[in-house]
Amino acid sequence: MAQYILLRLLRWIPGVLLLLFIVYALMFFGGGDPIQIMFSQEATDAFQPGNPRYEAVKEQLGLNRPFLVQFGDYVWKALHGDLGLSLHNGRPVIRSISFALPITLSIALAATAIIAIVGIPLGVIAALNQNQWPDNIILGSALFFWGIPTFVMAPLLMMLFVLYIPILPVPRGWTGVFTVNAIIPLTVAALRPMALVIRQARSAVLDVLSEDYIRTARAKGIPERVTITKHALRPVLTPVVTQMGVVMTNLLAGSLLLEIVFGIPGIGRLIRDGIMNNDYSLLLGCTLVILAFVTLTNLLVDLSYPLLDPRLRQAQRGDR
Amino acid sequence: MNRISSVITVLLIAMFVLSACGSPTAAPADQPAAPADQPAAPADQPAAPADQPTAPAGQPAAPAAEEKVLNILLPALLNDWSPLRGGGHLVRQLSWWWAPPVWADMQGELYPLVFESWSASPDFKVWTFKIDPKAAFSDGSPITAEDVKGTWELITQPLTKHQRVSLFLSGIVGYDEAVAGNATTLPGIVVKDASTVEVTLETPDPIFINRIATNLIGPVKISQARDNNGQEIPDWWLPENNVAVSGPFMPKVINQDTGQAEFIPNPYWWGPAVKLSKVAFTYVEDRSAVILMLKNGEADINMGEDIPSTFAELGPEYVGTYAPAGPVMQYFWINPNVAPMDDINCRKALIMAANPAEMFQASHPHGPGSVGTVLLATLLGDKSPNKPVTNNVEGAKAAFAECSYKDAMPKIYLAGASNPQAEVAAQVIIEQWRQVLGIRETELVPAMDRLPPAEQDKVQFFRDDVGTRVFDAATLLLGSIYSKSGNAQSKLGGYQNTAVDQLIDEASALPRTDPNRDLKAIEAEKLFMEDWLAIPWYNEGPVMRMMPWVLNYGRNIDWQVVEPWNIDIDLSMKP
Repeated sequence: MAQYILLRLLRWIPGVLLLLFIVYALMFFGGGDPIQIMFSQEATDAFQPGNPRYEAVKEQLGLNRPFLVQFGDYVWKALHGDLGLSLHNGRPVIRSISFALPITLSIALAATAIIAIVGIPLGVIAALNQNQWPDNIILGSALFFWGIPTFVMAPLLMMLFVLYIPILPVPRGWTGVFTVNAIIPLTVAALRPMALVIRQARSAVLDVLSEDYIRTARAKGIPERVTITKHALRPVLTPVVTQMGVVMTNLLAGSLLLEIVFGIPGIGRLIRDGIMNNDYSLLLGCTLVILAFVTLTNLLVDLSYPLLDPRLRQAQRGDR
Repeated sequence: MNRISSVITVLLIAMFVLSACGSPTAAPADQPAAPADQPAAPADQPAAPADQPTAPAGQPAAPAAEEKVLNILLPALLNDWSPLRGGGHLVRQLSWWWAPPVWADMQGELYPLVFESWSASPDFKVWTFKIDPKAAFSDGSPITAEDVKGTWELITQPLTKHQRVSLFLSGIVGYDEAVAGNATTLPGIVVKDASTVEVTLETPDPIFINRIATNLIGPVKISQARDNNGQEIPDWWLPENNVAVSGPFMPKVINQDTGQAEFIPNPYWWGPAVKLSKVAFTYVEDRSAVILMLKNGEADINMGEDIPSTFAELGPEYVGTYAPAGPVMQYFWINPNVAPMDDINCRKALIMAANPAEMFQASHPHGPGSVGTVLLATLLGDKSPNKPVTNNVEGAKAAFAECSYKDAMPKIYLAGASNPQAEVAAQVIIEQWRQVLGIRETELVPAMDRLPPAEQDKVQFFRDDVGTRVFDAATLLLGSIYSKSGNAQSKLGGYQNTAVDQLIDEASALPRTDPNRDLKAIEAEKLFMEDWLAIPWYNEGPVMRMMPWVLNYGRNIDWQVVEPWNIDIDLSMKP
């Protein structure tokens, strides 16, 4: 197991370097001039390359070095744990990320937990009542919420629960998962991807229900509830967990809209600031961290398969 | 099932732990607790003169039973609260906690603050400033001439990244070397004694005092802000670093990660007593959330942009319909080098056919601001005899009859329709041309570079604003129609009228108190109008974005809150 994990991590490194190189190159050559962005309100049209003040800032920030030198310097420092200073505000990038990352992670984990606790049972219920009204309502609702973009759903829910049915305060900032402030953001984060999980669970249960051992269990007089939870659910979880791994990585990497709408100071917002300000250090640091957690999520999903399916455990032992 | 339960349990625990780590209430170890409120004033602080309003020492002005907290919404997350940046969203909040050398009200009138008096040499090259002996930082230490000199030197340094230093300090001896990073001191600023600063300029500037009337260059306690290499110390302005500020309020908490901040009254503030108990800033970017918070009283002022339903949701007082227009004007400028604008009769026709009142009504039905007229209208009002030449249908038709292109009018391009209001205004002009002159071949573009390169040289009209932060007619013309101004060189196609330039040069050399300064500017404007080169649109007014229970709130041309000590809240009006 340890060897397996180590090999997976070693294979991750070249991919990360390549991605960082691409991101750096895109920003360097196509993202605009970070110094002109910093001084966007400079009153004179002469603040251009060649202007003494412009050149002084460029030199003092090290932005006058060749592309490969700047990139190599960044990678070297990153290997030593130094993600550099934000070009825009001079703060250490690691400080900004260390505050923002737990927030985004907690939102992603909480939303994933909600999806698992609510979505999987709904998918099972839909499958058990195939083509009847519970199935139609569950699938129809899932498709409905899947069709509403985050930036539409968020203000609509806010208007509904803050203005028209005033039972919640205006959600802004982040005060923790188990707070009233988190209800609407977590609902928005969970509703859309839940549709995928519901459909996946429903489809998997329908496949399993047609298996011989399910018919045997029913024929033996085992209560339906036990048949479903003990015999049908376990094989269903493998594809569902895969789907949830994808959902989790999407929540990690795609939290931008959610964080902007609700003013949540997470990683998505940092990425947005990095792009807007052409802040190389900040954007690369965020990219690195997101990559790491996406890889970790995928690794955890892979490691969970043997736990869920003994046959995979056997196969894995056989592979070694 | 046991394994599944285990997985879900681990998931929930991880979520709980991360939630605890990520909550702003669990502050990271490197952010120590905020300092204690309101340090007591020393017993030996001298009493202020009887005719000057003073801040009560060591006590907030508002009674404890009625806490008045002003909640301001910021549209961007500020993690850099240094007062030395001269730009960005923070620049509009500086007057809460940093005192300017002198301050300007909404009409541009100057009042002493850090500087209690000033004088200039007869040639306006040497200015002497006396610091108010009561002027002090929030730690009780006096504001000294060294602080003024040090602050102005620090903001010229490239790495300080002050975005507007050239507006205020350019022209001081040694400025060019400092901004190029070749010097850390300005020999043109001399400390004569602890409370006297002498500034020497390269060239005469009769309005230097107007230029420095801004919070963007207010003195900081230089021993806190600058290191031995003459560069800014990182994060010196954080409350946990015991920053000493000079304004009516001082920071209690600044959270760089969440963008929230709280300010409480400064016990050493030497100006009029403050009326608020606290000023709180919150980062909210979503416009729907902003409207909700303003409506239910969770917020009082919004610093972000509005959405189309804002007026309907929040009313005319929020938008600031009543606010007077300032000296920033929007025009559609004409390039006389491009056909048919090279024919003065064509220009006259197109200008006279336009109706700025209809343009303003269509683009800004709720204001703020006023209909565009002549350049100097908002500064001189009725003192200027120059009158607008637009909205003259008969005159437009007569001029068009003399236009050499009337039978084969080239397509007319209007560039700069880069926001919904400008687009509406341009469409109104186009419709007016169609109705009055029968012109149909027109095209609107947001910006010049949206056109193919071959067509960019064909643009005849360009929408842009001109203005001045100094309420002075000559200064406005220097930045708009003077041949060396960016506006004349780009939007007006290299416009140069030697008579206009000469009048502006002569006006600029005269002191503000000389009536000939304005008279020459009026004459220069008259000559420019005779060249027929612009269609006025509207004069901008400050969009207030405050709820009706906020009293005495106003912003000057620098977007600074005017008289922050005087702002109050009518609690009976709050929901």
